[in-house]
Amino acid sequence: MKRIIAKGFPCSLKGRHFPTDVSNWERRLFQRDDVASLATQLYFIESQQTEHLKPKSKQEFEAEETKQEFQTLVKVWTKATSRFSFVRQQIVHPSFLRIIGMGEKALPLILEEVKERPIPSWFTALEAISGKDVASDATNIGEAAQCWIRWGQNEGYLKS
Amino acid sequence: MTEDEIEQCFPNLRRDDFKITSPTDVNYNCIAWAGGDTKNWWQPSGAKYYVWLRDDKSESLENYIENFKLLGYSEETESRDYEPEFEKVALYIDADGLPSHAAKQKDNGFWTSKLGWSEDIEHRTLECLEGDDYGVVKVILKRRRKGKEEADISKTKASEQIKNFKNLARNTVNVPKKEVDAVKGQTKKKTNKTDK
Repeated sequence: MKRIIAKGFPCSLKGRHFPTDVSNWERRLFQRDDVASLATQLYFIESQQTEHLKPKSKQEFEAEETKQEFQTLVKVWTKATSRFSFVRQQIVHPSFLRIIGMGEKALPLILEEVKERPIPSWFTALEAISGKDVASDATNIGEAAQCWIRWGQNEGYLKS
Repeated sequence: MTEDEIEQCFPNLRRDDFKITSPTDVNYNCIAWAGGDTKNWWQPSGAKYYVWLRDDKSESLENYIENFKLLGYSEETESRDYEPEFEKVALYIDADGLPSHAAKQKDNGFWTSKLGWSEDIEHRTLECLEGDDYGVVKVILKRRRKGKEEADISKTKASEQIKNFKNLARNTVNVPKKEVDAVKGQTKKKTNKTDK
């Protein structure tokens, strides 16, 4: 059954057309409605398990690549600078500068980080990339984070 | 950071010399921690959501010393030893002579430090954290330890100072254009009435 499913079973199921190398007894078996129904369910489960193997669109592929690059840079930057107490010390690290260099495509990823862990240096990156100063009225880190998250949602970089 | 990672960052720090005393908290840094504040990030330069008690926004060591003097740390000392009648804060400077870290002495004679936006640690000596990252201890400031009642009053005063700073920041922010226009509109109406 698995063999037939692998050979594009759902297409053939509708009209009960089978690939040429399917034997007669297999054809007869799949003519039965109960077997066909079972095969459909199996196909559904199988396709869900192999979702990650499906070819991705160029856009999806690029987004995935950007995310991976961003996560790697954050990891390196965190390890190298989390012990430094001033924003001026944290933002000069090459990985951080590379994140700023990623430009607008880094905004949703930085905003997700701000949601999770509002490290003050992120506000500097957001200002540098967006050219905005949306947290000018904030009086502490938490308020500044909220200002940026709201901005991200309004601009469509973050889901509400 | 794990204990291993902390040890790797500070070559003078041995496992027996320190322990982690808090989880990561991005809301405050070492200066705030030494100043007794765990709700704000203290640094002179940058946005208004950073707390600084002085008008001077320079990154000079002098500015940091003066900032702590406002909290009562008015005397400089050479001694790194524990003196029961004094509370001490140590300021580190990096190779460029800029402030890089602050540590505060605890009642047990050990020192406590907030590592950037990571964890707080308790460490046996100030030398433990000296090295490439934090540089060297340049200044140790002290203030007379207060009795419990006095300490409570001082705590209230410190939070009032921070509150005042925040009010000041709020009052100096740009008033939204809408509000300015509304006020302008009212003023115009009044002027027109007076003209008539």
